[in-house]
Amino acid sequence: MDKKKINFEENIKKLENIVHELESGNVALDEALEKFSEASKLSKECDDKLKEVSESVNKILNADGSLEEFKIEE
Amino acid sequence: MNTKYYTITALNKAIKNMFDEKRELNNIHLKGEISNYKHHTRGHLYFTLKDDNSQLSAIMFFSNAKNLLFEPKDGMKVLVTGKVSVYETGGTYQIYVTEMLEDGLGNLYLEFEKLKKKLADEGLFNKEYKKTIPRFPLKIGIITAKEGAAIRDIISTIRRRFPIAETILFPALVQGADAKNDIVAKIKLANTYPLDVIILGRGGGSIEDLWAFNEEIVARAIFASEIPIISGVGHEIDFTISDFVADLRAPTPTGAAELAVPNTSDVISLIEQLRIRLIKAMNIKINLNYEKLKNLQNSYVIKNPLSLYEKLEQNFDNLYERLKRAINNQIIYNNERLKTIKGSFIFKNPKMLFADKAYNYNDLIKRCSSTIEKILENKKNNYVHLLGKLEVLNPITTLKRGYTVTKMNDKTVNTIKSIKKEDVIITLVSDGEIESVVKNIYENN
Repeated sequence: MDKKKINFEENIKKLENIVHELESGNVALDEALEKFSEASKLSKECDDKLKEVSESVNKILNADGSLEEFKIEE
Repeated sequence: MNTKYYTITALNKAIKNMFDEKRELNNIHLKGEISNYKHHTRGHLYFTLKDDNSQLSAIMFFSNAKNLLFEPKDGMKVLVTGKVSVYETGGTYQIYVTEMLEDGLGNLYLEFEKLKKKLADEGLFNKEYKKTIPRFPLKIGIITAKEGAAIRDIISTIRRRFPIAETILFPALVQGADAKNDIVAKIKLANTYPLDVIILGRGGGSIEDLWAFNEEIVARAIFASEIPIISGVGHEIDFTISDFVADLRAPTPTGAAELAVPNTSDVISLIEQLRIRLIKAMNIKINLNYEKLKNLQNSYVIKNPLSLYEKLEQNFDNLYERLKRAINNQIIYNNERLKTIKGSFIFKNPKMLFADKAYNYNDLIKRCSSTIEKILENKKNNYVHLLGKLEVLNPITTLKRGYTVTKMNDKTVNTIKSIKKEDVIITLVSDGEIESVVKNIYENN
């Protein structure tokens, strides 16, 4: 799975929706189990993404339309 | 000598009264340039206002001067409001300034208010047009100057809070005459990239420095942006038109970055909370189902499964009896109908069905042939009649009776007007033609 392609926003939204649904109790057991495993997967994906150890990516758009790394002195 | 000599004081007092009675002089607006500026230790300001040709002394008392938004300097162009009156002691008239603005700036304020009202009336600031800022943006566009504190503040804030977010800087001019067009172009350009949110920022500065963010075309570009825009221009106290039209306003560039991204630790604990709630909800669900299962296992039917079968057995017998009865009834009914049909008169005398049909046929044939004979008779009579008529009209028959036809040049001669003496004419008789030369022509009477 390409971690870059995770839609964080949507995943958290889905996760929240599933939690609300399960809390409401109006879901059949089979479906609930399915949703539970989906939600576990989503939360793990988001968690992994957040804890990914990587340099933050900052780019600048040059006048010629190319993107290059942008460095700032902190 | 009765000449009256006034004191200087009296004169100056009288002149002062003349000034003070002039309503226009009590509240007058002037523009000019500051010179000979002195800031007295007690807080009053003394200076001269001048233009190309004239000058006027001016004083601004501390009570008014303390409200000034800028530090006056020699050479500065200003707009002042005040009262022109006489300083009796010096015998000079001067303006007592109550308000002073930098010239140009006054116009800027007016422009700002005018544009703000116009755009507000058009609804550009309305809540319903504010786009939702995503909670967890992973791609952030930044429109600001490449150099300076603003970009550093924004990037370092994002790195600190939410380092998984990528940023793309669209470097823009943020002051000067070209700034507005550059900002508009960069907003449009940024909209061609897959960004979650755009931060439009600039560090602090004078109102002129920030002016590009008060331009109408910039406001309209922000409004038209498909991607939500967070503005962070100047300091807390600076409000620009861009701030009003942006989807979210931050007081500073750093503030804009803080509003754009969450803190990673907050997000991690949010996910943790969701996970805990998920597991709890699932446990409740499983326990409920377990209880249900236990209840079902204890039910009468599960414990006595044969009871289900007994009831069905009885139903079956009942239905079987009803079916048997229904079939017997149907057979009896059909036998009765068959008997009735066999005993009927028609069934025993089938020829009755055809007798009247034969009569109809013969009658029809007779009627047909008599009609055809009548039509033939009529046609024959017509033919004989027409033959007689034809005989009467035949020109040969007429010639046989002694009449003739006269022709000249193949045209029939009907009148003496169509011939003259010595013409050659042909006379048609029943058995041939006669060629003659005309000797004389006589007209009837």
